[in-house]
Amino acid sequence: MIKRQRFLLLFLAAVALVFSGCQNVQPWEKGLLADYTMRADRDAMHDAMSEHIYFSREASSGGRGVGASGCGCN
Amino acid sequence: MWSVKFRNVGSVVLLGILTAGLALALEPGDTLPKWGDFELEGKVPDLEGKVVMVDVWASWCAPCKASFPAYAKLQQEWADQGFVILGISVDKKSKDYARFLKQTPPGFSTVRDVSQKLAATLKPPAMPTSFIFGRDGKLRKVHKGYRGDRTVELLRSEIEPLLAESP
Repeated sequence: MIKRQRFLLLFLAAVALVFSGCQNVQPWEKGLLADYTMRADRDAMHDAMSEHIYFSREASSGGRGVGASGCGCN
Repeated sequence: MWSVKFRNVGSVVLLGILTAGLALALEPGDTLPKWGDFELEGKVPDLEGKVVMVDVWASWCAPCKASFPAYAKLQQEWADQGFVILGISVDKKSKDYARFLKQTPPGFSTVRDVSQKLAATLKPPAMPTSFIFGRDGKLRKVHKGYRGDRTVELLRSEIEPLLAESP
């Protein structure tokens, strides 16, 4: 019986630990999400390097952000 | 005995988890905050005996910006009847606040809540939120968001009776 209670206590502690990592962003704090540093495209150099890695790995030069169907025929 | 104690502790932990992050907004009947208790950039005008609309806004909030011309018009229209709008900016950076005011003068008094402690006290449920206080300094209505003419009409219907009340 005591073993079960200990298990439950541990379980509750684990749940408390997980939930303590959750944080609600209040309406007045949402400026943080609108900040320039939150933009995914804020660093042109980083974007170019990521793109280079992507097409090198996938052998798909121009496979992202270029028009056409992807048939490679034009 | 241990089992009962365990259950109590478990209940408290669970309650703590479930209620964490819940924020209760200011409710009708609550009084105007004491401005001196907060770190504010700018000067709060004299609000004694006036109908006050506290508008929580930010430079990054598009509906807040959209609401300013209509609110400025209301302020102008009822100024001599004792109606005051006080904008509370929740901008973290002073330069964002200053730049916004320079580009878009709101047409009513505004201050910046430097440490966001006033916002944490008012707990606006959305951006913008308008808290309307009567001449007695007690909260009467809370408006979430800004929906153009619909909001303005609603504000008119609620503020006019308050202006008719004796100071």
